[in-house]
Amino acid sequence: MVYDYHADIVWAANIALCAIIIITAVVIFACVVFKDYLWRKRRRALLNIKQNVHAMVLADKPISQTVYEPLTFDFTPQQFIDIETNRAIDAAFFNDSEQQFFRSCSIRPEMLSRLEKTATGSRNKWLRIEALLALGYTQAKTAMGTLKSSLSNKDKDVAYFSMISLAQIKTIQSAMILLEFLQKNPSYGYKIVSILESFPKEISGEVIKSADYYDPLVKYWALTLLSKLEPFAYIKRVEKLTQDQTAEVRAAACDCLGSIGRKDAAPALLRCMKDDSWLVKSHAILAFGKVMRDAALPEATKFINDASWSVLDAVKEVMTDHIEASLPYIERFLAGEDEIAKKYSVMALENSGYLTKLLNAAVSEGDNEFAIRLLKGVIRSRARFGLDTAIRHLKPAMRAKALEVLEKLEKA
Amino acid sequence: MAVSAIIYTTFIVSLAYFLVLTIYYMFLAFIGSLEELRKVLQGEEEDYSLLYFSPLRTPVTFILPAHNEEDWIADSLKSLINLDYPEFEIIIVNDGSTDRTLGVLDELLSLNPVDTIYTKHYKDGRVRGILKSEKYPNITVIDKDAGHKKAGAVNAGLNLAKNDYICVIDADTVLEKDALIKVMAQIEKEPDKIIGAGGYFGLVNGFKIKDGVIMEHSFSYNPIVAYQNIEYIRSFIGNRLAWSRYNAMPNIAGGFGVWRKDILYELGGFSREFTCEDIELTFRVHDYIVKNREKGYKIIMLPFNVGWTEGPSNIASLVSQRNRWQRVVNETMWKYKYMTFNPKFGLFGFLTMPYFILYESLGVFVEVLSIALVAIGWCMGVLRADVFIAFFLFMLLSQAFVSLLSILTVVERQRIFKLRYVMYFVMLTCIEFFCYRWIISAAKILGTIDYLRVKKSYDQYDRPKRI
Repeated sequence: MVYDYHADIVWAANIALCAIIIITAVVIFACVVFKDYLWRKRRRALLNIKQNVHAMVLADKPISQTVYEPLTFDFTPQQFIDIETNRAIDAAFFNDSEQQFFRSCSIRPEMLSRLEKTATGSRNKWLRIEALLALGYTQAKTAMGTLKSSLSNKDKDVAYFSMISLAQIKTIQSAMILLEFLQKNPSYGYKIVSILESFPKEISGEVIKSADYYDPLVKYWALTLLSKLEPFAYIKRVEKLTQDQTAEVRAAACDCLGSIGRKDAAPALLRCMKDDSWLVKSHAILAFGKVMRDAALPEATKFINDASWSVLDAVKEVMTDHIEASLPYIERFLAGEDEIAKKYSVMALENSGYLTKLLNAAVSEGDNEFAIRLLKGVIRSRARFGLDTAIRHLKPAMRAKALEVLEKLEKA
Repeated sequence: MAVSAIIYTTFIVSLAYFLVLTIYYMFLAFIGSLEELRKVLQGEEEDYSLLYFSPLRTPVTFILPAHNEEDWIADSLKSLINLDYPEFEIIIVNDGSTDRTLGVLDELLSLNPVDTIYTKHYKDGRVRGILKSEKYPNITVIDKDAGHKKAGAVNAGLNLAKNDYICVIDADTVLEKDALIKVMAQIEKEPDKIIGAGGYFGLVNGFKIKDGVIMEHSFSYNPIVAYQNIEYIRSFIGNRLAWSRYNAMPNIAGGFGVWRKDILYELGGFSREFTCEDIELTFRVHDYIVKNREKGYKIIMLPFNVGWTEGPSNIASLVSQRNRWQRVVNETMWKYKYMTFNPKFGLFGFLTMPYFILYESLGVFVEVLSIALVAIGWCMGVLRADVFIAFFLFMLLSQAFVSLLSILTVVERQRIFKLRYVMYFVMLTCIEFFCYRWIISAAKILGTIDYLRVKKSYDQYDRPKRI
């Protein structure tokens, strides 16, 4: 039987592959050369602008038609963003005064309308995005309408970068737009909160409205943001949220009360410290520490044998922050049987730098009974890790004496 | 007659196999190219200052497992210290090194022993001690016994890690300054969905590095190194980007990979039962999420050049490395074979698994057998010389084409390689079939034999010392 290997088809495929390979190799070559050319062109253009701006800044020329025309003529949104953000730093770097000068020369009604036209009308999505970003950097209030409508664009990239652009316009109106966007897209919460936390604190009035929204994720993000804005006027509303169904919302409400720092939040926080959720408990303990300061210790230290590491960390932090007031509790824990309590007590002493103070006191004031008692407790507890570091921080002359003291205590 | 039938069947089946493979790679290259365009432009337009200056920024824990890395770890560590990222901690795990790794770390970091709380949630082996750096408060060294492979070392780091995101890197990887910020900016867009992310890295062999900073990207013209660079491009940019687009990513490489810690916690960390830890973990994550959680999760590949790692520079080292990779591919495919064509796993089961089984696991045998049988057919006079040459050329050209497609994908969007080196790549792809291909095939065959012998050792290959 003679088999037909279709050699002609295989050869035809080989010839086609050869041709495609040659074309692909040529295209690769062209791409590399073209990308290099584009980069050099971008660099040249930026350097030209830089030279002009630099000379005008040095000459301290007042802004006038003759000054700004060469600059506003024919620069692209990409160049505008390059100058505003110095993202093409390998090409040219613009310092603050050069950036300001360029902005004041270049932001004109014609320029804004050119950007808006590109942002709404260009068929190339990425050109639209660059124009949207450039509008944000102009901080023009007239751009808000365009940015708001772009936020609801079906294309995720357009919506995302409109949000980034709005970050540059730090007004209550843009905050309201972003909060409305958060309500429809809570998955962007992290980003929106990162943007809004640098906004003026007056936006807290709008943020608290989002904290009442039905979606727990929106509530969570609103509370997270609120805790950065010092919302003293809204303490009662935040307290109410410490009883929300969702643990994350309750925890965020505790954080918020902690950052407000008012003692009237104490009852709500005490209630949250007994919450079933370790997340709520740990945040409540930290917040209680911020609100009640030294007076938080009797309640906070009750949790030194909690099952959750997160809660234990919170107790340790409260003790560290109020170390002087924690000392009686630390002494009691070091003398007790609970190994975890001992370790956390020593960590609090170490983190606060108090261990070094104790060593110094024990060495220089040989009769400082309290320091000696506490050091004995640390050594007996066998959680003595902090001592090595504390000893290294002593001056060489003191170090030998400290080691002597510790040896005596150990033998005792 | 039987011989003719065998030769004919082999010929047709092999042609069909390579044709289907070429079409598959073309599809991946096309999708990968679109995905690369989108991600590269997203990266260029992103406002990194928002991430950098926000108190809400996501701190990351780097874990660097190190076994006998005295020649490489200093640069890797310094590149991490120099990273442009606001908040991170570094945990180096000295995995029973018998050289001066710990000494180098002590000189660099001024280490002091501490007795911090160390919870063994992940299986790691015996920990000898924990040391903290006096110079850099965010750096900790875990000194442990060897014997639990890289997985055990990474698990030790996980036991101490305090941040919500973990980045595992190799101790010979030098990161670019903006590596982490670019990757985290993408993760922070969908932090509830993105569980893992990988980036593209190449080979650092030949680079001029000073204090962890790459002074000159002097790409090596050693063909072994250059071919590996082509392979990395093919794999990261050509294949993984496309798989990532369909949430079918099979492997976040151990050289650089970011994972969300809560998932690692639920999975119990990296497995020490496999030859390597990275690919198996990625499969396990897919498996776990599909079985236990809602869908909508993502494991992504990003086209950003995150850094450079040391690669083998001679044939023996290359074979050793690829032997190991082949073993772990086979181990993983065997364990997770039920994912193949399983609708529960979506396109991972339909797009990625068949490729891994038919090409990564079995492909070397198809290639070698088909060439061998067709050559035998020609020698016996069953096959004409022109048919044999046509067949041989088809294999060569289809492979060269696939490599060129991947190179095109990377050069059309990013300026990583200079023109001369790209042209060197092009030249090498045309002759890959005559040389490099067969080294890799030999390594894969040896790897499969060792897999069948149940060999699971890590076998670190010899790496060139840095100048």
